Amino acid sequence: MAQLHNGHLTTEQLSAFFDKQLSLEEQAVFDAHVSTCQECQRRLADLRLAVALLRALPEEEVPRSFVLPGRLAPFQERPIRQGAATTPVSQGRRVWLHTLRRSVRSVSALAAVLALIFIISGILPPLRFGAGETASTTSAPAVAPSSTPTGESKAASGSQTLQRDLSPNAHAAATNTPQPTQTAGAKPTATAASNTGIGTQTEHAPPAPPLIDLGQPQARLILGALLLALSIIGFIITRRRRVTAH
Amino acid sequence: MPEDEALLITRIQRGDVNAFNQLVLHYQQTTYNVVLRILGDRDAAADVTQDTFITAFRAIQSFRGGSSFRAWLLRIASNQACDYWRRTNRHPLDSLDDVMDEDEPHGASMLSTLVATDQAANPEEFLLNQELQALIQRALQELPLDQRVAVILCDVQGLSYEEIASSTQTTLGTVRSRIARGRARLRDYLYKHRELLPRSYRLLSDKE
Repeated sequence: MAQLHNGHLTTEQLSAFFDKQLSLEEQAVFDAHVSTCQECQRRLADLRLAVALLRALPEEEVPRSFVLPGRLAPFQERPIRQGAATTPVSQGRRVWLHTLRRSVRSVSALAAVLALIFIISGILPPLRFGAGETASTTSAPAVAPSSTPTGESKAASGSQTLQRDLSPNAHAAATNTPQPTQTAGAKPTATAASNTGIGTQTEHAPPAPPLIDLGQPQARLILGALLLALSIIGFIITRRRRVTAH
Repeated sequence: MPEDEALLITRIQRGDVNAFNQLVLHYQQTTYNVVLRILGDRDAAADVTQDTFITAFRAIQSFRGGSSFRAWLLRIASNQACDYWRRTNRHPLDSLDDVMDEDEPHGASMLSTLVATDQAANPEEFLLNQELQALIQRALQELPLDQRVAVILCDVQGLSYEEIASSTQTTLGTVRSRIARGRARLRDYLYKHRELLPRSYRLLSDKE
């Protein structure tokens, strides 16, 4: 190794020679060469200067302390390669807690999505109903005195087939027959008896409404809000503790 | 070095953050400065340093007792710094190739001759110092990442070749080659920007 190339030390030899990283023999051979070679002496002086500049770079003070917060839990991204048997209990518990946290977060995310669907579907029908109602009330005074109630009601039910559960109220307003405190789907038989025109619609309504009738927008809103609250709670208790940088 | 590093590491491997923080306090200055010299940006260096300690704490199980914790920590730090550099600096090192093309080891590009003829005197030593630091930092940032890390660990931090080999997971031969090539490029960069070299640099050469 202690050979000169083109009569001089190579860049790598010179650098290693400068750092005394060569064998004693190499070091002696190059030392003898450098002591007589002006070229290599100048190159060595250059190298010494460059290294001196680098060493002269001041150590900068840290801008802040980098200590970790006490609550930061170790997180095993990879299986432990060694020392696995040191703390099996705490490791197993940590993994279990991690799995639990992840599943709770997944369920919370699902609940949040469902909540949004319920809330949106609870909000949208009243908007459409509001538009339909204004249309029917404006037409009602003009039509009611002249035409028969059955003819008008058929037209109304035909136009409102999409507004499933809301049509009985709208129809009641159009026909000018007072329905005392009737809610949608609550008394389908009464509506059918007073008017034959809406019989086709009341057949779609469930005969016995369940505890929470998803057909009602209010019920969907309430269910949506409940689900949203549950998902928020789920996210809060499983919130990942991030390291605060400051 | 902290009282008993091996004991501390055993405690850290059981999840003791306080034990780890003793090592953080001891090594944060070194870690921050290595990252700062690689990146040349204080804010980025602070972020990468913080990430380094979080990563080190979480990966502490993979640390083998008996080896140098400093080398292991600086390996994480330099890897993270290099990842950060690659993410944020995508432009090629074009100027570097020019330097290499005109690299004449026995020609006129001698720092020792140029500093001897540099007559620029500057009364503001502090400003000069800052300028010189900035110049060296720019020179470091012109180096390819592997050479940059090797030169910083060797010449700025004073690590041994063995420790650098451990930090960069390479052989001693590779370390030697990277340091030599890095220093040569750095010298060429400084020569290319010799008009920026201050008088203090010349005085340094005269002493030696």
